[in-house]
Amino acid sequence: MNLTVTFKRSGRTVAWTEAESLLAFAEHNGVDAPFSCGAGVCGTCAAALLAGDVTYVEDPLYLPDPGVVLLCCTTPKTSVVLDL
Amino acid sequence: MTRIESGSESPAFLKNAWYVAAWDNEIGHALTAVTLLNESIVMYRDSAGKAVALENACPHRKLPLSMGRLKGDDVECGYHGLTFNPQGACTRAPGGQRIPKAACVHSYPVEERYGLIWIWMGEAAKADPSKIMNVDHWGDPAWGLNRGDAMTVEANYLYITDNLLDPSHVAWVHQTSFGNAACADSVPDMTAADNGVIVSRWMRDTEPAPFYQPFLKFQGNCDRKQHYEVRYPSHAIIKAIFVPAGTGGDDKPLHKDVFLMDSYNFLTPITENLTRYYWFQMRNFAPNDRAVSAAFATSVRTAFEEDKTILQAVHRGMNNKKSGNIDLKIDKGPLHFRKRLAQMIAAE
Repeated sequence: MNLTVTFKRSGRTVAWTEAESLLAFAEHNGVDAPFSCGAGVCGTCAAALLAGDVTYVEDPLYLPDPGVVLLCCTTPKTSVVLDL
Repeated sequence: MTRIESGSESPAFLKNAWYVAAWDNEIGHALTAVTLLNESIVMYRDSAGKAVALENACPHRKLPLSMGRLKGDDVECGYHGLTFNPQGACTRAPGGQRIPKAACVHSYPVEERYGLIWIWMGEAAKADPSKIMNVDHWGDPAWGLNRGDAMTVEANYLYITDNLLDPSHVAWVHQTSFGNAACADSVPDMTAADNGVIVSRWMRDTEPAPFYQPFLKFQGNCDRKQHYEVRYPSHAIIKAIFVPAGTGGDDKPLHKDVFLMDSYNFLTPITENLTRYYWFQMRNFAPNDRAVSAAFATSVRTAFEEDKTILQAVHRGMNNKKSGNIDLKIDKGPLHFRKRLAQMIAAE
């Protein structure tokens, strides 16, 4: 299954390759995403999910509002479009 | 997203819970005023030695009953002589008048266990002594007791629960005692249970920390486990396990030379800004060796004073911050604890 990750604000679409999280994947691809704890605690890495779906690979302390994902705790379930 | 800020303090305390009110030898047949969870309480022992805790305010003009006198097992107010028995009922009113129905004070359920006097701060009908934290190996002749102590910390109790769910701080705060190099970088696991949070990790093939070194029965490097557990509302069990390097693991039986020490840490909020901290340790060696008990008592006190210095400054810093503060990965356990406790308080 070939998934893509689109960083809308950066205007880039990249093929998903295995990474620990969308946060790590964004960093590998030179897309600047804010973060602090990297463990689903602080909410700093919350980003709007404009299309697609994600899987939580780590349980965050709080689930974000609908339409928002915590980049540090998630990987793509389908191709995704992020407001980044 | 609603979240608990590490700097925000809980608006209240969990009331339906057992807290430590005092060491057993701190209360005798004399009126003693204490403040717990922002409530003023008068404590004493009755003629049979049973501990009593009453609301410390006469229902007439709210004079603290601790300013009055003990009359047998009852307390007489120092203003007009209203007298209350250990159940909080008025037994005498001045001028021979009939005793008004509202002339009573709250009597707090009290239990003695582990050398400590425990008090139930919530609805008396819900007080269940079986809910007082169990201390494993208490009274076991093979285990020694480092008879504990207490200190008052000028900090909100949740900064102390943060600290007791954070095994990493020992690498910086306790460099001469509990800490060693491995403490800085190994990542702990967090387990959320119904009654609290556990943060733990094994550190492999590492030098024993200075505090423990003289008491190990083996030479050379060790596998070390740090088990940091805090149960609601604010009681911690910190377990230290040291075994010869290569023999440690949750799936393995304990090595015969294992060093085990369970540190019990009980926090009682006095106010939002002040906490009374009680502790003792159980150890699996030298059960009757007073010199060992004394050595640990001194070392533990020294280490806890290091925490106190840091936590008081953290409390001041967080209450006067001029810029935002951040949360780190190591805050997961502490913040989970704060979140669940806040929910329990809100549900009361």
